[in-house]
Amino acid sequence: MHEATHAHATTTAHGHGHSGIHPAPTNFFRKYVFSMDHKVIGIQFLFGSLFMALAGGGMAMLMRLQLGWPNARHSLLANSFLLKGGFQDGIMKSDFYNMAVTMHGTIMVFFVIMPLLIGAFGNFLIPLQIGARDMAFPFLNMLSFWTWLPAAVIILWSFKYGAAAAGWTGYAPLSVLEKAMPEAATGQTLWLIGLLLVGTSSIFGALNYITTIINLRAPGMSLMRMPLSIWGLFVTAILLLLATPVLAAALAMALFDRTAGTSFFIPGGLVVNWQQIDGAAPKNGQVLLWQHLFWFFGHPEVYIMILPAMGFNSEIMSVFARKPIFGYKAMVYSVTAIAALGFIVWGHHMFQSGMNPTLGTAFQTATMFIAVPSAVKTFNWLGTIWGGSIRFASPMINALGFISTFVIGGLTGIFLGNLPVDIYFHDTYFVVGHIHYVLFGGALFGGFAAIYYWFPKMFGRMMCEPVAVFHSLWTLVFFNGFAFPMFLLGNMGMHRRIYTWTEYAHLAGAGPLNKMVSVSAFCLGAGQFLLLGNMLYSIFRGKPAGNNPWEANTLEWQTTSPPPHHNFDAIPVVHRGPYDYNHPGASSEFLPQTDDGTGSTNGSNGSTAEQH
Amino acid sequence: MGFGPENISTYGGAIDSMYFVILALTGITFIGVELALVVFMIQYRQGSGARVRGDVEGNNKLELLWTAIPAGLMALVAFGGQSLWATIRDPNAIPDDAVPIEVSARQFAWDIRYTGPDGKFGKTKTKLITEENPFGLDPEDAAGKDDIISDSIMCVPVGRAVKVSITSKDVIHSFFLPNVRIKQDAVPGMTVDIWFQVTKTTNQALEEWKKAKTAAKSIEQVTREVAMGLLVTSAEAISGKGEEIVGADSLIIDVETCQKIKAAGVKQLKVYPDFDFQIVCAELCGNAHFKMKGTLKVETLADFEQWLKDNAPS
Repeated sequence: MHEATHAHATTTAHGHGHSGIHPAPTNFFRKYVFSMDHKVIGIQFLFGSLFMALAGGGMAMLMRLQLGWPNARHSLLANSFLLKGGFQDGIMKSDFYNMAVTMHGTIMVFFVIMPLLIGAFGNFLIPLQIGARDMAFPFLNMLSFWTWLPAAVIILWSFKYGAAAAGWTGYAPLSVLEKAMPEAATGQTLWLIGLLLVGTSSIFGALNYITTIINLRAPGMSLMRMPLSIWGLFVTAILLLLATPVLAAALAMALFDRTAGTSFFIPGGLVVNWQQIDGAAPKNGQVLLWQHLFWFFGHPEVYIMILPAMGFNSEIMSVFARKPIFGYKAMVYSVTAIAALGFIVWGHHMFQSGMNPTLGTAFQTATMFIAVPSAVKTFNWLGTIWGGSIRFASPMINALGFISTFVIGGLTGIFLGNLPVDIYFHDTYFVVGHIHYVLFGGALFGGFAAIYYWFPKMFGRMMCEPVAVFHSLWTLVFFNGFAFPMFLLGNMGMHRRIYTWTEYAHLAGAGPLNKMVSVSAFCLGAGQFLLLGNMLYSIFRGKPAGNNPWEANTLEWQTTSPPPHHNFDAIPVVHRGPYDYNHPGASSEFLPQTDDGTGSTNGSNGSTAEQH
Repeated sequence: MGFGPENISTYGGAIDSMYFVILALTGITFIGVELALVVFMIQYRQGSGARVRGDVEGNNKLELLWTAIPAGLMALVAFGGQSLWATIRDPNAIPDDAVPIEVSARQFAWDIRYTGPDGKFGKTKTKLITEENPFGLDPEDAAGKDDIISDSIMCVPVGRAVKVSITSKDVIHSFFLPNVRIKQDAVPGMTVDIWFQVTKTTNQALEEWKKAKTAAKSIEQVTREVAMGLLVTSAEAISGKGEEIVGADSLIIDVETCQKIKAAGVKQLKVYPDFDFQIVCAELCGNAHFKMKGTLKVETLADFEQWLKDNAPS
């Protein structure tokens, strides 16, 4: 490729060649480590998140080991190099259990789902699907990964000192009073630092995504011709940019409370373990302030994790049903509505927190209405497969799995959003079941669908389809096997984040359900090695994919697999929406966005937008 | 109708009914969506021969319909819950004659206070809080002299409302009575009032529980369950030989007792799971959160008054 030798300044200054693109890197470090190429950064996030998934998933397995067989001895684990600190006499320690709970949640949210959906696919897809050469700010993009990675290292490293143990929500004052949780003294501080870094990374990414989507769309790519995956990522980036700074502020305040003697979240007159906390200067903070700040970020955060998955899902449903998406505009409006409503429902996490009960009424009403755009999306997906010609390939199986499980996640939210019913269910396993249906059944199924769908574009090779199908079905079965019984445990009144349930009379019959959750979780966890193995094998040995193995319309499929450094030899010109499948009277079963209606397509090898 | 542990409060039944209304609503939606999904998957699979409707890109009437119907239903769910929420949570809805009780949570127990005969809580100062004086009672205040303080046992009279003022000394806890269907975070620096009225005494419930839950189990099974940490075996039914071995008073079996019983040649035991209405901490509050629990002891009014006398400060 001759562009590689062009200097960046030359190409832009003279307005020819591949304008807006930094030069292709010539050495290993610039190409794979400190890369500014959005595709490489995407792949870095992909492997980063999958590695962290091993850690976060491993913690889930440890929790389920304890809850399935409370107080059982595990001499093998207890003597292993990594875990021996967490066990005593072969039995898991309760403080270690609390650390596993906390770090499982933290890792899965900030270091698996977000980097997988937003870091990996956001980076990889945005320039390719809108027809750009790269992100608007490639250097910022590199920084985004290189702030995320140290955060991940800090979070893992914190286990050495006793990791954070106040839950992924880090409720103050437990998370800021060292005396209340001495076992996690260093870990809780490192947790705050790690999350501050990961928040910085998100803000970098969000700025970049918004700027890129607004400014760098190819000619003809109007907003209403953008693929729904881009809509999902675009709205997500806006949410991130507005919500993350609030989290960052809360984290900074908590860090000051822990290390600098401030009292944002520590009220006066506290007595911990019969020791007075007030020093010479009395504390006068507010406990609920943390919750308001955390959930002002935390609820949009849920949509930050689900909206990209919904976008990928819409994309895949249309491609594999060989039919236009049903109600494209309704899909766009509902994503926007979910995002807007998402900012005024945070209080539904706080119905039992001591917040004024009248506020509860307001938050309940907003929460109920967020079910409406979610319902609209679900019905539109059903409308999309209606009258289609469905190809049951692995991406589609995961997309259909997404719908079937997301429905459960959404509907169970109605129980929790209802004020009186939530009194009972708040902080029980009903909530744990709900969050797993939304974040695993929703976000991660969307992630799996995206991996299977875009892997050929990322690496130029197909994944082994029979293994992919087996993994998808296996995951669907055991996911439901582990998450559904949680609702029944919630009905029994089993509360969250307990190291054993055997202390409680009303949970005397919880054994079989807990064992079922645990066994399913182990099967689910083990099955994920099929995905990892398939990926690693296929990167090197998979069948060559060709440019467009799924016969899809969007721009990324109009260039080579993997795409060249500059993505497109010539910037494509967009003539139509992204979902023209089985168009009446068309010459072809699918019409790429670059099809100008005469049967010829421009793009990588066709007519160019930048002729001089 | 009910679900989970038996409801024993006056308003718990309405919560349970609300649950079942939502269950019906969401259940129907769930079945409808999953059914449509499966039918479409079969009917419109590739090669099924069905006409591919590439001409259909949406339908505004349908969009309107499936926006309006969920919106209407959700409004109903929201308004349906409102009056019940007000009954339970509106501070003005607390009955005037409710028995006042204070709860001060700490890692990892519940300090509970009654007014004593004078009907008044004594003044407290957080600076005075010590292990011996968990509420920080001010010795100068006469109203505090008769205050009754209990560690993690809350006794309430059946058929009479109680008002519980909840706070915390250290971190956030959550005061959860599964049987009463009430939960309220105990927040340091804040006091929140809740109320409830119980309809059944602990003894009544215990009799029914024994009837329903007593089962004959092999001694091996009992040993396994005990070893797991389950409080399964408050076993009144160590009959005959068993009673001689462990003593008639020893109703709760531990692993050691199991071994003794087994050694004596007893093969089967009639046992039932341990029972009490419990106070549960529902908010992660530190290392021993999992065992931060208390007992809700429901007595007849006469027995309640007796309990207060028995626990009065000497």
